[in-house]
Amino acid sequence: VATAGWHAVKGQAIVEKVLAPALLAPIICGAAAMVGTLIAYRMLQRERTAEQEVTRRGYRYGQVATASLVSLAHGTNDAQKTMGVITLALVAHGTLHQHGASDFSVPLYYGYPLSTTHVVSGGILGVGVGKRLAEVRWGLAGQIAGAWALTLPAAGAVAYATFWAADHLAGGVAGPVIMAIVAAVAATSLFAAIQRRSPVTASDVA
Amino acid sequence: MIASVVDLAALWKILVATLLVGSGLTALYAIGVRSLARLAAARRDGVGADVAAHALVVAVVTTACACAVVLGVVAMTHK
Repeated sequence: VATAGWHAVKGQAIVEKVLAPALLAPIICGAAAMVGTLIAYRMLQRERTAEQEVTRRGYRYGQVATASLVSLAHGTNDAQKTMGVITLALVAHGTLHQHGASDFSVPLYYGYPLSTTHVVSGGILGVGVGKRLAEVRWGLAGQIAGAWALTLPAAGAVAYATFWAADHLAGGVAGPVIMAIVAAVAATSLFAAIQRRSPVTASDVA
Repeated sequence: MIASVVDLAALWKILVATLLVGSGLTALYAIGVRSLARLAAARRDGVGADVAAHALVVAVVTTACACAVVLGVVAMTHK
């Protein structure tokens, strides 16, 4: 929008490639996780107490495998977004020709762009529903959905403001460098402020 | 209307694959873990036939899950 105006935005593509997958991914994965958890709990709830340690150990090994696969999926999927943003920035700046950018297209296995973040969040929600409805903190789930809804317009606004400022503050390389420093300081300050207010520790992911 | 904004051909494949692989593999793993628990009980109780049956189930499930992991890695690295 900042470089080419509103006509450069493909509304249908945003709905098709961003909004629809963002809405569908948590629902589909949540449903699968709910069904899987329901089946697993039904199967194992009648096992004798003496064998519970064996069951726990079995799932501990399973968790190592699934966590590794999620990490791989995240690395081979979501990491490309950063490359895409950098490519778009280079195209907008004129450093990279538009046709060169097409090589960065990384379609998913079935040709649908899904975010690991949305899939994993839906999966965690589904596991909670499958175990027991009360296990899900619906207020927190609502906050996550609200944050997702805000992400696209907020990121767009920040990108627009950054590009505009870089273009008007100084010409050539100086503008982007100044804005990169401003962004780094802002991100560090935000992180420090959040850490002071409610520190994130290892116990949050344990 | 929906077909114009959602790739239904890709979506149904994802739905089927997610439910089959996601829920199916979880159920399969649960069968394996249950057999592992029963294998431990059968060993302790000294029931030879049960030990063999549960060991077979554990071996089949472990192989199937290992194959699923390999398939997952191959699918992710070749997309």
